[in-house]
Amino acid sequence: MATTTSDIQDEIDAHGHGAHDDHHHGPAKGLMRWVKTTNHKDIGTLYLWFAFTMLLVGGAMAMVIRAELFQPGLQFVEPQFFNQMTTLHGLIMVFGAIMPAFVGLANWQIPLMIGAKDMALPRMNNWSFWILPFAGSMLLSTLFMEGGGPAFGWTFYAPLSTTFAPASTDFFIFAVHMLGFSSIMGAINVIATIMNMRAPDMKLMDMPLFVWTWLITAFLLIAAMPVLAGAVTMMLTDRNFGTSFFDAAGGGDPVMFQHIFWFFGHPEVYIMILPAFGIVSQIIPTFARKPLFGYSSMVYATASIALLSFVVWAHHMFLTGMPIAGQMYFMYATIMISVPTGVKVFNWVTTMWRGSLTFETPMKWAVAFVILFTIGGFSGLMLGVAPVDIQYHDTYFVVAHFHYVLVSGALFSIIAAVFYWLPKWCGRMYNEKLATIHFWWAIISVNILFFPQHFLGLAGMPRRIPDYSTQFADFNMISSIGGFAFGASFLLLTYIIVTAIRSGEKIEEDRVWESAKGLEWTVATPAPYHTFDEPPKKAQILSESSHIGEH
Amino acid sequence: MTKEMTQEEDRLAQQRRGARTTALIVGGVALAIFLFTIFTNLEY
Repeated sequence: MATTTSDIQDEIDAHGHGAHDDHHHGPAKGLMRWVKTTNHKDIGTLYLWFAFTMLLVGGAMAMVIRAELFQPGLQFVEPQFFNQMTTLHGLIMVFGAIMPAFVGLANWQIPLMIGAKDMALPRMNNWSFWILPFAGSMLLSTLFMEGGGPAFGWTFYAPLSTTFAPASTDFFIFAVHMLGFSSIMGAINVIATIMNMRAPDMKLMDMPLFVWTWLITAFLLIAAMPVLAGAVTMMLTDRNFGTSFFDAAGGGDPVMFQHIFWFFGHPEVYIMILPAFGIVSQIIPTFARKPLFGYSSMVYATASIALLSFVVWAHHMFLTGMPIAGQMYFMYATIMISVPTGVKVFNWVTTMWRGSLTFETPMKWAVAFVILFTIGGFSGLMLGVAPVDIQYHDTYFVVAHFHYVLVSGALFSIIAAVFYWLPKWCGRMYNEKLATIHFWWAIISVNILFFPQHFLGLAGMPRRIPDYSTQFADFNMISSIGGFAFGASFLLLTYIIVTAIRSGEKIEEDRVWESAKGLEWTVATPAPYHTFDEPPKKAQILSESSHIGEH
Repeated sequence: MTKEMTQEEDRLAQQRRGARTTALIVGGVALAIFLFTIFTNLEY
């Protein structure tokens, strides 16, 4: 397809809207605006609302889980339904809430931060989003099917997900295929946008860290999601077409499923945390009123984490019967990840060091992220040590670990990002007082919820069980109380965000936070429907760079 | 049409071609990884 410049010009002329007369109209009206939109800001908004809805659905399932675990014995639900809840809670939070929320932030922010008019492939962008509601609905619909929804855990190990799975599993497989398809298209779009649509004067090392972390995340998605698609495709053919990829009776290997799954699953963990690192690296310099410490080391640390994430997958499988040399390799490789991660944490702390700190809501969440994510990182290190993992494996210690990383890590960074950029998006300020109350409410309750789960795990309570022995009763009750409080905090969050959008105090300044750096703060507030008709110039790019002090 | 506009449109057209090529390469890599995963695990 050799398209020349003049062909494109002919096409523009033939449609009667040259590059200059379609810039300043606003969005279309009504529902079709959202169905047909190719505008990165609209699609970002759609992603974020979809993610928030899924967060509430997955959160409701968490409430069921914590209600059942409030006391030993079976209180509210059947064990099979409990397993469906843990499975769908995990799948919906990972694929429906955290990942789409980051893609939504990427859609809104990446073009604004690199001085691009829009994403590189706007129609594919629309398609990437609109697959999601169908995939999510299909996944949730399995709950109403005969035999119930998937109940094999979010990791869907064979043969639980093949030989012994309910009929609805085929719908689960289709839903995962669609979610993966959406993610891959989103990642292609992010890479194409950053590589081709950047302001011509912006070098890669001029890019804000949120853009850098998303670029690296997009490469992780491209390499990891097809492996997930391969895994579920093999499940599909094992279930329906007589293959035996994972069936030992037919010459296959169920442990191979775990290798394939975790070859996707471990990079997936970093897909959910690298953009969070980017967000925190944007917020902390703003409220410390200092350039980000160690910009280039942040970039290289992110890339190192991404590369290492592909060579550590079997630390999830120390108990499958691995040669000792394999265990040692995966243990040391895993521990190595703490080096670039430590670089990041030190850089954030050093950015704050002797800064003129203020603690507006985004900064509160960013600081909470640094502290609580580090706790999750340390418990991850503990789990990565092969000999002690024999004790920790499949216990509540694992549950505590990944909730510290994903809730007080990934989710908190998303909340921080929304409070940070929402005033720019809609030109209105949230209620700082309510947001502060919400922050402390959530921070205290999330720790009451997840910290005791470390103790439960160390004492030997297995994960994914609806009932437990009585010695675990006290900590489970404390954890459930924290869980209900944390769940309720999202009602307040909903109120804060909705009132901010509808009736928050209007903002006039382009630069909402006075010491914020970045091209997104040079456009009007609220951000106009179309931005950067003319790409920003070199001087502006450099003066908006948060790491300018480093050069 | 002034000279600057032509240059600007040329730049946009170049951006679009670049985006398409990038998308095809990255998508191709994804497809290759998908097929590699399945074919390296075939037992029969």
